[in-house]
Amino acid sequence: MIINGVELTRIHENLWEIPMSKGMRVPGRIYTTQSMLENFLAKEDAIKQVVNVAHLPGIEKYSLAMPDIHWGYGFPIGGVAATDINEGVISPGGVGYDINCGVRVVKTSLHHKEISTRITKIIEDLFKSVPTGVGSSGAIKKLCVKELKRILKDGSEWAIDNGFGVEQDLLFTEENGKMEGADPSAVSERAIERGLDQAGTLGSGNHFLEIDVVDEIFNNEIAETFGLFMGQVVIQIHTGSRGLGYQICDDYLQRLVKAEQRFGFNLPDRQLACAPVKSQEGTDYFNAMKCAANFAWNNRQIIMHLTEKSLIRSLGISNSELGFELLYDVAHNIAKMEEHNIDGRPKQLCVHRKGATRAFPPGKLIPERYRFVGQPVLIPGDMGRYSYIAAGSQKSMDETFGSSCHGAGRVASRHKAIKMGKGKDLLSEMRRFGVEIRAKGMKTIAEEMPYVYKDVTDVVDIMHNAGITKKVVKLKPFGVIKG
Amino acid sequence: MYTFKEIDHTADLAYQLIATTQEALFSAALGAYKNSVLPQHKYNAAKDITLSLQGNSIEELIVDFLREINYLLTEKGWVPEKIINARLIFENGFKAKINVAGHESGKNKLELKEEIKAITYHQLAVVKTNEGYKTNLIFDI
Repeated sequence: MIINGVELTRIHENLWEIPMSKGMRVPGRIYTTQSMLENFLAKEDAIKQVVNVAHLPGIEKYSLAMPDIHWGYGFPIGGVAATDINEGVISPGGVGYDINCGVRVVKTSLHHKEISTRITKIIEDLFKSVPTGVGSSGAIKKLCVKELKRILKDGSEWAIDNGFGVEQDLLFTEENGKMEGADPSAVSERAIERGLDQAGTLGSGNHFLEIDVVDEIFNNEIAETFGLFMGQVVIQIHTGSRGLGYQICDDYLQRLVKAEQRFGFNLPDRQLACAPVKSQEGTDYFNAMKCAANFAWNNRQIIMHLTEKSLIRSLGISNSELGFELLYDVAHNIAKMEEHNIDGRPKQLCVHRKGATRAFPPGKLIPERYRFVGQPVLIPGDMGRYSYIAAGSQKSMDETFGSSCHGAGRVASRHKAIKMGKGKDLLSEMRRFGVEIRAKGMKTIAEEMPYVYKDVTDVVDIMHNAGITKKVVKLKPFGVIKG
Repeated sequence: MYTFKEIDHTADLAYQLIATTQEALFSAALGAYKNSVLPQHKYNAAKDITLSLQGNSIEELIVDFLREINYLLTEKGWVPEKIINARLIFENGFKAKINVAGHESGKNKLELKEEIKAITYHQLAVVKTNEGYKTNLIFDI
């Protein structure tokens, strides 16, 4: 099959390969279906971006794309690329502007039927408690530079030390909420300035805080290990490193674009600007990226705490009655140094996941509680229909450098979405989905309506059928706050 | 003379810029930026700024220019109005000196329409056509 001038060969029902052509150092591989290729990917440049990523020096095995692939900047969203740490490069475009954008799911002891009639009050209190929207700030007191730098080094530990959560939360956060080696001296003053009043804020765009109910269980054994049951109320938090992360990405992109001639890589897209992993530029970027990643984990930790306080207040219940407990927190925009098997030998690689979730299988690399079932893989859908929690499997290590999809992926532009929403009572429409929603403005609601996203079930099923992850439960939202 | 027109983009904000000169492309870029982020607002005292930029291409200068504007608006509360003068120098690389008229607003007084994460290089390629200098410009939001 040829799409937008790129040849694709079917490997199996859910996997397509792009053979190597001029300039590509490895083939491309896309987890998708023929229908998605024809209906979505044919309309944009994402496939070409998979080809472009295959040009990166030191890339190993394949330039990969998960089924929620859509076009991004340099890398496609849903892109995964692993590079040799000695011969290869690190690219800010392989992480994205919102460094450590990610998802956190928190369990409660509550049953949907206990609180569903009080959802309006709950959502209103949450909306007041968690700052949302463009440039949102002021969740906690404005930090001084010294305190912010502690967050950049210590990540979620800062939140725990300052009373925004409990020690156990760290165990259930990827990297325990802190990437070691973060170096605030690699972060610009501008980035620091942008982060000072944004800790604990949700931001705008597709970021959200959702109250969901466990609506369907696909795998009882894993659901039980995860502590999930039918009708259970869970909270989903989706946000990242806010302005601080955008600024770090932008600063290094600017620096690497200007250094391009010196490195002499001759890449097909400026947004793929990169540096050898072990060069000064590469090291500086990685150390600054870790700072943003730590900021983001701390951000989600503070939001989790604000949410807990809000729920206790609006429901008039105690801590123990609420039973707030972190299931897991995953990054879906990040680069990590990880060991993977290449041709039967372990090798240290720089794994870029841009709009892709780590999906490690059962084993020692994940929290003890999940070691026999695989890590929770959190896959939000749109705000009206459903989201999924899956578990990582061995095949993810064999095929995708331990990665899976991260969401549904948009199909309609914001512009088109606003046109589609014109004259409609969107709040009533969301109520028809069974969802009470609050947002800073109707524009955001119009831009994020369920019909502008793919059905996340189609995306999750591809990963499930390919054996990369196992579906565990489906979540249905009934309360949402947006920026 | 310049124009900017919003074009369809699945996830972010995209514009087509057309200008009779390369200097005027910066005004088109600023117009697109303002159209995306600035609400109707009454501004305070006027304050002009001058930006000196250096890069390897005209595209790099456009991105660097809007990067500065985005920072000044979101972090310093300085609202751009229009370019008073843009001067491009093409020797030993690409240089620009751009004088922009604007207003002080105060960081927290303005509620922006959109949070622009970044000005991207995606599809940014200035070409000379019969209509003038033309490029697409995409904001990551």
